[in-house]
Parts: sequence; structure tokens; C-alpha cells
Amino acid sequence: MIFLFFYTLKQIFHQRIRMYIVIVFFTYELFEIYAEGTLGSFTFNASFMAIWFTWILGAGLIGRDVSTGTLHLLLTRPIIRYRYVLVKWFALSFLATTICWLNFFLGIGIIRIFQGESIVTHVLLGEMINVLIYSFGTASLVAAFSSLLPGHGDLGLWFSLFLIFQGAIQLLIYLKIYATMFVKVGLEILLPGYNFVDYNSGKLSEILAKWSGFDMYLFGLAWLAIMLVYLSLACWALNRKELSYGSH
Amino acid sequence: MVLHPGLIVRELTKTYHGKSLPALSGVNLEIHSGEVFGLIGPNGAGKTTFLCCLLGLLKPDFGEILIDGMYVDDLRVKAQFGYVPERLQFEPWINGFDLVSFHHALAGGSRQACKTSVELRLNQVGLEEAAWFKLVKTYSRGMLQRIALAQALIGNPKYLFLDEPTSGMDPSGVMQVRKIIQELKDKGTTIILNSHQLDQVERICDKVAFLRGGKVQTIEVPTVGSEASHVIRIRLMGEISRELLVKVAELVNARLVGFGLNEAKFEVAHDKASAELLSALSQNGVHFIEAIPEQNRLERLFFASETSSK
Repeated sequence: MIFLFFYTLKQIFHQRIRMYIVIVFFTYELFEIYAEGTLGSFTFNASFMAIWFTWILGAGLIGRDVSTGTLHLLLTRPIIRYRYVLVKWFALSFLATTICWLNFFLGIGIIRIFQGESIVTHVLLGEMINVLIYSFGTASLVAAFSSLLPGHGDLGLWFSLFLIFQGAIQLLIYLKIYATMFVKVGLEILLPGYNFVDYNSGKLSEILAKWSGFDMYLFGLAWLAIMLVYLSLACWALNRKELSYGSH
Repeated sequence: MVLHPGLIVRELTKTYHGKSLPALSGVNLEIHSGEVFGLIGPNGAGKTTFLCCLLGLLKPDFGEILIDGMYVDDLRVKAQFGYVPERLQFEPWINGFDLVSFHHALAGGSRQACKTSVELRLNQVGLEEAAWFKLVKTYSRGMLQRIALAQALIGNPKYLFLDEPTSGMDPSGVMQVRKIIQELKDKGTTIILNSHQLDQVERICDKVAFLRGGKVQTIEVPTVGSEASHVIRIRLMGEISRELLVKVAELVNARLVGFGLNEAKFEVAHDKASAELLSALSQNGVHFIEAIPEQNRLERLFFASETSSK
């Protein structure tokens, strides 16, 4: 399935407007590092950017193939539908992670060269893991929503759900109901990997002290479970899809 | 050669979500291996739905499809498919060569054989070498048809599904497709052809199913004589009197329905009667250059069905 992986990458690269947007975000990030020179805002942005990069690159990941008719022809070949979903998801995650890591390393380079600041190893590694968690999580959500809706309907659906969720939080605050778990679960569903560890919030021992081993496992399992649910949803939706060129 | 059914369709029924009328209703068919099988019918008859069910793109509500004794979902079956869709849509950034290479990989072809195999198919469909590395978005309709056919032929499919394969092609392209189909038939490929070009279907197909309202109305064998009445147009050589033609027609129970400069039209009861008419004309000194039916057999079937439905 390696050819499908590269085909997906090519599909993404040939959507020029998206690539321009990615380049703009990418450059903006580097300028910000240079201007502020602080690692704090940068590391937060680096992992958070993974969400935007994944969405910018991946919106319509599967839905676009359905709308253009590419998928019809593809599925007349000996390909299992769930493999198609998994390859698409992996290709998007891989690309988003690579771009974010590149952005991250260039940022670190700028800090070292211009500010002379040394980077703490656990911050570096932690942030790389965060980027990976965000990219793979968001890509699974993109795959699921994209299988449900044609074209770029996935982005619309996500945005609508996000607005509804934000509205609900506002309402809860207004009613003075502090539903922390609701917010945490909601964020985890809409931004898989959101409840990440902020590796820049102190020394490693302090960070680990805040996170008991159980919390770490719980977070990891929740992230894996959500990703699994989204990928299963994508496979299920694609399996049920009626793919016909007919005039119905 | 003894033919055995390679493709069996039993009670195939399909209704699209949100529609009250079924797109396919209890279709039963048997297509023999090595046969060229045509599908004709008016728009919305269910031809493309039928093809999509055969290709495993649509799941029927009821009934079953067996290809070489296996269900269409089986990857071993899909590995034997080639498909030219009616609506040609490809990624605009891809060039012809890469598109066919991609399908070579999808069909399970080896990396080593890719270049040779792709070049072979592109040459086979007559796509000029200069166009191979051009983006498909710059292709004309005819060139798109050729590239679609090339990708379908990748992997030497045992079953080839063609949905309007010659639409938009120039006459040389149409002849080339016909030649390719004949070559594939000789090699034992089973071809399922969906087309509105009835003369093409009649020339190419061994059997033709006429679909209407999601049902198979009839299955015709174009090579067997037709029992339906029809008009034949005869181009005459020299001046012939109308009276003579009327007299000859009466001899074989035919009827002169049109007469003009070097041309006459006769209505005959069936194919055998038209042979008798031509023989009688010759015997009575009426020389002619050619005799062709006013409408071909499938056109007659098509329009007769249209009229009866009204």
C-alpha cells in the first residue's frame, strides 16, 4: 500500500492554496520565535500548530476522493476499504508531524543561534511527542468526519461542533456550573490529544510529580481509544457508502 | 468452444436510500466466460447501477452476484476487474503515464514490470507518446477515454466493464476500441458493455440485455435472425420502374414503402423475408449496390419498447 501512501502525499502537495497557508503559518511561527525569543509560547504553539496543520492539509481527505470520483475507480481494484482509510490517515498524520517537527527544529535553531539559549532535553522530546499525539489524533478525526461527508464537509462539521461546544461551556459558566470533566472530555473528543503534558512548565521531576503514573496511562488510553473510535467510524462509514455514477 | 457462466446474477434488487422505486428489481442474468455482453436501455433504466453492483461499489438489497463462483467482495475477483467509468474524473495534477502506473500498482503489478506494462497499454489504446506525460486535465474527451481504457486494461483483466467507452471519441478511436474489444474477446476476456450507441453494441456484442425500469425486458442475440418486421433501404443500380418493384415485393409478401432516385424502401416481416426479397430482386433483374436496414435491430427493439411503454 506504499503507492497509496505516496499518492495521498502527492494529492495534498498539489493543493496549492493549502500549501501556501501552511507556508504562511510555518514562517509566521519562525518570525515569532525570533521576535520573542522565548521557548514558552513557542512550545505551546508548536504542538497546537499540529492541529491546524493537520486540518489545513487534510480537510476532505476522503470526502474529496468521493466527490471527485477517484474513490470509485480505486475501489474496483483489489483494495480493502479499511486499508484505504488507514493509509490515508497515516499519510496525513505523517506529513503533519513532519512539517511540525521541521518547524520545531528550525525554531530551536533560531533560538540557539540568536538568543544563545540551550534547550532542555525533556522539553524537546516532550514537545516532539506532543506534536505526534496531536497530529495522529486530529488526523483520525479528519478521517472519520471526511468519510461521513463529501467534499470538505468534514471541516464544516468540526467547526460547527466546536462552536456548539464552546456555546455550551459559556452557558455552563453563566449558570455557574463548573463541569470540568465535561470540558475535558469535550476537548479530548474535538481536539484529540488536547489534554497534553506541558513539558515547559518546570523541571521534569516537577512535571512528573503533577502527573501521577495513573493519570499518564489514563490520558494515553483515552487518546488511543478516541483515535480507534474515529478510525472505526471512518471504516464503517466508508463501508456503507453507496458509490455509483448512476443518475439516481 | 463450450462456454460456461462466469458471472451469475440472481434476483438482484437495489433501491437507493430515499427512493421509493427500485433501481434494479429482481434481475437474473448469466454471462458466459469470453462473452461480450451488452447492456442497453433508456436513461435511468438501471444500467450503471447494475454495473456498480457487479463491481462491488454498491451493495444490493437482495439477491446475489457470483463471479467464477465467488462473491464480488472477494479480492481475488476484484483482481480480475478492469473498469472504464462513464464519468471520467481523474486528479487534475496527474499525468497519463503516472495514472496508469498508479493503477498498475493498485492491480498488484510488480514494480519491475510497471514501465513495460504501462507503455504497452498506452500504445494499445493509441494514445500518442507526446501526450503520455501531459497532465490529464489538458486531455481532450477522446484522450481521456483512451487513458481510461488503458488503466482498465492494466493487469490483463478477465472481466472488463465498459461504461460508454467510445463516447466523445473520434471515428478512428471508435474503430480502435472495437479492435481492442475483438482482440480481448479472442483472448477469452469477458466484456460487459454499457452503451447508448446501439450500432456499436450490435456489432460487438454476443448477447444484449435490454433494461427498463430496473428489469431485464429481453435478452437478444444479434447474430440470430430477427422475427420483427422492419424496413430495409436498397440503393439501386440504374433506372428501375416503381411498378416492377411493387410486383417483386408482392411476390415475397413485402411492401414498397418508399421510392426515390436510385433508392427504394421495403417493409419486410422478418429477417428471412428480407433475404427472400433480395433474392427475388436479383432474379427479376433489379441490380442493387447495397441493402441496409433503416433501423438496426437493437434500435428497433429500443423504439418498439419505447412505443409500448407509452
